[in-house]
Amino acid sequence: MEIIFILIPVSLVIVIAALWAFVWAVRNDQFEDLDKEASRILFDKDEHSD
Amino acid sequence: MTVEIAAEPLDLGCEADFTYNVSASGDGLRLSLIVPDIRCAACAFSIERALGRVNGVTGCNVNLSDQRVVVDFKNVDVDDITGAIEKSGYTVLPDRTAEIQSSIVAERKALLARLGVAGIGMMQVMMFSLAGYVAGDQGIEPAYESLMRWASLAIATPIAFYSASVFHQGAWRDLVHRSPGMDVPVSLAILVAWSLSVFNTFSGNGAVYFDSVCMFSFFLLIGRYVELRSRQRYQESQNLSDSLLPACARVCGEGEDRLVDMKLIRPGDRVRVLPGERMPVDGFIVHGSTSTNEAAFTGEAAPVNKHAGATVLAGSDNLDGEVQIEAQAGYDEFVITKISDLFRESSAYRPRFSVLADRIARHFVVAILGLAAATAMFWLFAGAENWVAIGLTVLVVSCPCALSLATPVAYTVATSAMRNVGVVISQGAFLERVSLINRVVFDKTGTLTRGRFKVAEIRHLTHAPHQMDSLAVATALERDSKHPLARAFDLMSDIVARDIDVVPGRGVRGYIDGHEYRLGSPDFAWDRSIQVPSESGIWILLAGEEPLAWICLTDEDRPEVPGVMAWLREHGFSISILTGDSSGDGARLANDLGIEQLFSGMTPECKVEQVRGYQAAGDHVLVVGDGINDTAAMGIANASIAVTPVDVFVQTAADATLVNGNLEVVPKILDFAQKTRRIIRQNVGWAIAYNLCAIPFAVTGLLLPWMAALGMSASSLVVVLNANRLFKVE
Repeated sequence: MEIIFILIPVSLVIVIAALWAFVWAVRNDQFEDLDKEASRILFDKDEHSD
Repeated sequence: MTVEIAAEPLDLGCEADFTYNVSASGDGLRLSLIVPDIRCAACAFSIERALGRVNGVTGCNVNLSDQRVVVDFKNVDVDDITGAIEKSGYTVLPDRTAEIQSSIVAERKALLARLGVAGIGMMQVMMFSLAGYVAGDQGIEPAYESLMRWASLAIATPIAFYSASVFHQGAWRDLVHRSPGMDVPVSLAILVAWSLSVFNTFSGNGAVYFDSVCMFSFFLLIGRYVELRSRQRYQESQNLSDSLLPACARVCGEGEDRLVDMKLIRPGDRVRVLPGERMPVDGFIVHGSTSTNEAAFTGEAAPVNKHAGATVLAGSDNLDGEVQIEAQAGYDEFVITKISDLFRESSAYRPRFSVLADRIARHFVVAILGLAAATAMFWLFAGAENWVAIGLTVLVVSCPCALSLATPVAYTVATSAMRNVGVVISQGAFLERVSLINRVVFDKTGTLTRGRFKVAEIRHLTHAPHQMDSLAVATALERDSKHPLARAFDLMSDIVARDIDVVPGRGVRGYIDGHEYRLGSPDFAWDRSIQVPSESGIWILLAGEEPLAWICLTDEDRPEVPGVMAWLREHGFSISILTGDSSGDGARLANDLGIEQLFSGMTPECKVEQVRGYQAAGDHVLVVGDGINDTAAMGIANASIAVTPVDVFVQTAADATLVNGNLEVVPKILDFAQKTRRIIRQNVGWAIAYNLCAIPFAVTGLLLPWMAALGMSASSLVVVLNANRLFKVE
């Protein structure tokens, strides 16, 4: 079971990565408008002729 | 801050000064705008697409939920940006609340980050401590246990100090103000539990409570976050009156007019207002005459004639004449600004029960701090090793968080739910009071009727064969008129009238096929005396070379009224109609609806007397009205609802406003108030029962800290989630 001594620190690294990712997402407005992004796929990126 | 006026007249509603909304961002500029007609994702994307085509726009973000557009740009005119949005068919307004909004967003983001850190961290700490729980009495190998403890310490520390910092700050504030609130025991419990655990981790014996610290913080933060969201949604819903004033005014200068931002108007400035525009200032007319619609203040849609010297109020509509107005006050002193300030203040109201709960909680906090200390002391002298843990458990378990959340959360959720069905609540106690109502009193004009005129009857005065259809002639004459009565003539007509001349307050005159026609008040349309029909309604005369027809305009009934009345009767409410109108129209309506209690020709004083009479007889009265003549009765009533969204004055007097002007919502409100009351009772009952049951167990040392943390935060969560059942109004 000595593998625990590696796995626990690994889990800590993963948690730190997850926390960093979450805080990054919050700071970069990823949670600001949850309604619009859901429909983005339904609309064309741009019209063909311009 | 001024914009030179263009050659052709500008539409003041759209032409605004956006320079206040530009701020520096990175190496470019950022513009914040409100586009009130964003309704769906398609609108958002088409605006984004339009802005993407403007050269110099480096980025844009359209927020669907708060209808705000933020544009980053460089080397391009603000006008080009707003122009691009307008060209796609949307209205652009300056973002007057940009600063408030950005602080709201910042607060929300900070709390969300804290909540997420606590949540993710809690899962991991739970995972570590699960090993110990699963092993049970035999325990796990000391080396592993020690490793788990150090790992838990690493994760719990940012939670205890970063995530839970909102509680520590709150506790600090409370201590400075010497009014201990809920944050004091919470913060103390987190810090004590964390310190004890750190101490035991270093010393290698005793128990650690990192999982309790994390769970406690996380669940309480969920409650905080839900509460913050509902409070912010509530704040956002209070910004109605900002849209009533134009963004800038046309100030008469030497030679030409300049557009000046509303906030820079000084007393003494002369402002030109064209027909169809909103009055931008409080002042008096120095030149010209017109008629105005002051429905925003009086609820009375009928036009009021104004000549030189007459006072006008900012926010009323200028209907048919061009006038020059001398401002008498600055922006902050306008009646309408004052009203909207009042409106905002009243929205800060907190329900009586919630204030009471807070006061109880405050004494409670002092008591539980004492109780926790006394318990810890008792067990210390009794020789128990875990005296700190027992004291901690008492502290956590007895925290009356649930009790203090019970009412306010239910109210904020209910208020936003009401907002979603088009009811803006301006008096916090509204739902509390409505739940007791047993009599509903309606005003007639504008409430049971639309306050919008339609052609009820045409009485021809001539039978000459060459005559055109009178209605078509009237429609052609009124085509471009902004007058409320003109809205009755919204038909299609292929007759074209030329040289139309609007005579303010009297009528219109124009030429059709070379013949002059006049439409308006009898003395205007026909210069000899003529007998006005005696039936109720507004009679206007159409005349050419001779009087052609009387046209009767009446108010239109709201179609949903019979259904609403049936519902009210079925649910045992007494109904009465109090109307200022003394014509037979009220009797007709009451007869149609089967209502016996009709009082017509009521002055505002009579209405008050009548409502007082009902109250003396033991009734709880809800007044539903729309005009200033109802405001006195609204003030005296147990609860009141204003029907139209425009009249700010009435809005302030009323406890709630129906934004959609649809009476069908009234039964929903009555029903919903009952539901809110029920849920608040459940919440308070639950919170008190929980505290009373759990404290004895904690004091006797039967509970472990993690049970206390779970119980206490679960109890708060139950209250918050129960309140969130109010989110839908059926």
